Amino acid sequence: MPATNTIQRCQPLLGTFVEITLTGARSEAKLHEQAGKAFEMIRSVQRMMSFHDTDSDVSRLNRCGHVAPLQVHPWTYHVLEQAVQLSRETEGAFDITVAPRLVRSGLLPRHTQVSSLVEAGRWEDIALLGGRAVSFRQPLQVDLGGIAKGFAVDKAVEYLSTLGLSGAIVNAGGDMRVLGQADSRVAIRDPRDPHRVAVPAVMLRPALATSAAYFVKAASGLQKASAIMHPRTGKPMKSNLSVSVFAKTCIEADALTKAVLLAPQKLWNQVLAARDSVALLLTKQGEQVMFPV
Amino acid sequence: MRRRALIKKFAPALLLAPGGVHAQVYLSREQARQILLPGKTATQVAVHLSKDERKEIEKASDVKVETRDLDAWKGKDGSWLIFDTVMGRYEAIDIAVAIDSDGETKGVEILTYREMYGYEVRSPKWRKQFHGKSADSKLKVNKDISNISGATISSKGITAGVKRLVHTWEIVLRKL
Repeated sequence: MPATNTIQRCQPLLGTFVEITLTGARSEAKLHEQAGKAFEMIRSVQRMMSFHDTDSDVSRLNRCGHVAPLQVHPWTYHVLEQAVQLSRETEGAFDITVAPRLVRSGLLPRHTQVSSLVEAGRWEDIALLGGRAVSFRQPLQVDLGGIAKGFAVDKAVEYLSTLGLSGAIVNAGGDMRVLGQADSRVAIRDPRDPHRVAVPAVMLRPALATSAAYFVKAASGLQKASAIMHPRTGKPMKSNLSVSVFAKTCIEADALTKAVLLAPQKLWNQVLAARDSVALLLTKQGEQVMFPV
Repeated sequence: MRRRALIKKFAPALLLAPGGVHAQVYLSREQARQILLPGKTATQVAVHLSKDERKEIEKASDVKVETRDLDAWKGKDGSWLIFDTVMGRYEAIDIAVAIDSDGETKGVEILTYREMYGYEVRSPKWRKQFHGKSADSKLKVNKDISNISGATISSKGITAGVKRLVHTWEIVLRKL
């Protein structure tokens, strides 16, 4: 039996820093090779679901999904299904079709003319036709930024789970999932001061994600904007609240943080319990609240 | 200018914080070379960027060139490995970038990431406030907590750094 080794790697992917930590009874060189393959899974998800990459499934759909049905990769189809399902459960509070407003505020790049950015489309206009075919009932732009990062983490962890490792952690800029390490500890950033960590936490589920309405500055520089848009008003949310969600999978944790930030509070318990998830809210006053209650 | 502003911003925190900057080391230079140029022999090439070359790179990449001397290695097949440091908004990051003989980026690895956290995590008072059921009894105080969850930190600074190096290859390295 070879000695147990641990390695830690970090690559810039998904617009953030993706860190992979592996522990296993094999050489460091082997662990590095396996980490490399896990990064490759994340790169595949990035290629399919990037809003920035003009060849991605997402960009193809945004260009002509309203003209004719398009075939997408099964992974993209799965993520769209999950997103629409969560939109339904949150009565539209979670909505991946708010991209035009993100483009206008400078948080996403502009591929097309301003005049073609139709904002009327909503999540109900996404038609999942089966057999990987997707169409839009009217012109709209989807952005999977609020859910694909978690999915990418899941894909990397699924691959790593086949290798007989004693432990693995994939952390994509705060969206993370652990493998085989019960009682792992993490730290959550302070919503009042994002370059400090405020709260230590135990991983109540294998996956954790945190979203907050701070941190992102609009390209215009005039006004602080956040990447979380309120779907009803179309305006960026400005509160100093952060939401962390512990879930079985990272796609759920990632999406549920946005759902909790955006949905009316009366829906939280139900949406979280349906996925056996736990939310930890940190407020600007320094309060820490857990849901479901 | 930017560096000075950063030091100014962090100086008070550095004085107060017993841990100061937290540096996360991922790879040594040699490990990065083995990952990015596997099985290839590489030799260091002294590359000094002239004023004109720096101007040209800045114009082509729209990214400021801060250093005049490149820390660059050339493989026998014409690929390059460049070690560089990128300043993010709140952190300094050492990176290694591999560029093949066609000027394509073949890989980017983070070697060291420094940021202003770490001192809180080492404080016993901070560690006592753990959330969750079974935590306190099993807490190992000596074990560092390196995984942090929070709103996503942008890696835009790296993207800009890689863009600058790709144009540096185009303008300078491909002719060497």
